[in-house]
Formats: sequence, structure tokens, C-alpha cells
Amino acid sequence: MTTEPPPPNPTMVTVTPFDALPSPLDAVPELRAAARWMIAAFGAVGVALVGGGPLVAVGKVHGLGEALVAGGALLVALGGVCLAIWQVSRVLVPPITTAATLSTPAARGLRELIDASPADFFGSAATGVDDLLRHRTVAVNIHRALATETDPARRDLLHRHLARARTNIARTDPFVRWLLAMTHVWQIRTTFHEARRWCLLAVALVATGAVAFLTATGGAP
Amino acid sequence: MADAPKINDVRLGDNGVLEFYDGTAWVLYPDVPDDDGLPQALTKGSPLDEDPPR
Repeated sequence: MTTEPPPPNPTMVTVTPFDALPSPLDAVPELRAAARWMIAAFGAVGVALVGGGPLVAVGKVHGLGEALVAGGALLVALGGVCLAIWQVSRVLVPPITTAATLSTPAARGLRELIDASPADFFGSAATGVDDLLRHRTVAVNIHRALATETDPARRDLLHRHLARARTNIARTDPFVRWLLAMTHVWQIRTTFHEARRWCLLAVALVATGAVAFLTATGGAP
Repeated sequence: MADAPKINDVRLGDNGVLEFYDGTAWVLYPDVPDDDGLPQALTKGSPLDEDPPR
């Protein structure tokens, strides 16, 4: 004797007021605006170095040795500027976000945050990120099982379970969309934080280059 | 020897119930409840960001 699963309700529509929830994507323009300001700041430093460096050096560099030191120092400083602009500009490149992105190091922090208290994010819809995302894969695997199943009774059961999986997909889809939006923002945020660390190195390079340049060009005429 | 199951593989268990492999064991495939509300997280543009009414 077999116990059939409860028949799904095909007319059931998930009513989740996600439209009332501000999208995490609203934070993207501000992250990018911050990145543009940082690029502009480093760009201004680069312009000052390229425009002011030669003027400072005129008449103060004597011989090939000093010229090489001054030129090298200027290159180091400009290298720092280029490094910062290159890294910060990555924030402006739109990333592609899929469910697979949640397994990348860029989204590790978000995943840990959610898995630490899944009820706060998903309520009773899922016990974690993997649990939320499993329904589409389960539906695909039921499809595959149906393709090889020949017993009519088992095919009927699989069809019913496929309908259940589709119902679960419909119920979890708003959460999945919200999670993907949050992951998208998190990726940009991670890139921004990495760029800030590179900016520290860039500032050190600019400072070192500038000090070396001023030292090389600061001697008596 | 049968291939080891992969995560989210499915099978019909006893009494016709659907089971999926969660990485460690075969478990019953559940029905997701539909009374979850919203994620409890604040983002830019949340109502609390707005100025309080005067």
C-alpha cells in the first residue's frame, strides 16, 4: 500500500509583499558614486604629478643620475595613482550575479551572515541558503527521473511531486530574488573594500615617489 | 556498484514519498510554508531611512 502525497493546489499564488521592501540594489549607485569620487581624487593627484613634476624639476636636475632618480620617483608615484584608479574602477564594472555567486569568496561574508540566522532572512521558507536554492534543482532531477521512469504509478507520483516542487519554487522565488539582489550588492561592496585596501598601497607608493622626487630635485641649483 | 548520490538527487521512498539527498542522508522533501513575511534586514531606502513625520 502506498500513501500518495497531498495534491498540490495549482491555483495557489504566493502573496509575499516584497514589492513593499526596498531593494538592496538601491545601494549600488551610492557605492559607485563613492568609487567615482575616489577615482577623481587619485586622478587629481596624477594630474598634479604629471603637470607639476616637470616644472619643479626644471633647472634642479643635474646629470643623468639625478634625472634617472627623479624620473623613477615620478614613475613610482604615477604607478600608485594608476594602481588606485585601476582597482577602484573595478567597482564600476557591473558584475553578473547568479546563485553560483553565493559559493564564491566574494559572497562568503553574506552567506555566513545569513546562515548564522536564517530565520531572520527566510522565516520558515528555508533553513539556509542551500535549502532555499534547492527546489529548482530538485524539480530538474524529478524531470530526469520522469524521463527514465516507465511504471505508470510511479510516473503519477513523480508528476505530483514535481507539482510540489514547482509550488515550492513559486513560494521561495521572492526570497531568491531578494537574495540575488543582496548578493549583487555584496559583490560590489566586496570589490569596493578590496579597492580601498589597494588604495592604501597606492597612497604609500605616491608618497614614496613624491618624497624621492622632491629629494632628487630639492638640491641646490 | 551504484554511483554515490549527489546533493539534491531525488528518489521515491517508501509509501511513494519523495526524498532528496542533502549531502549526508536521504531526507523527506518538504513543502515550503507560505507565511514567512519579509527578510528582517535594513537596506538603503527602508522606511526607517525616511524623516519622521512632523
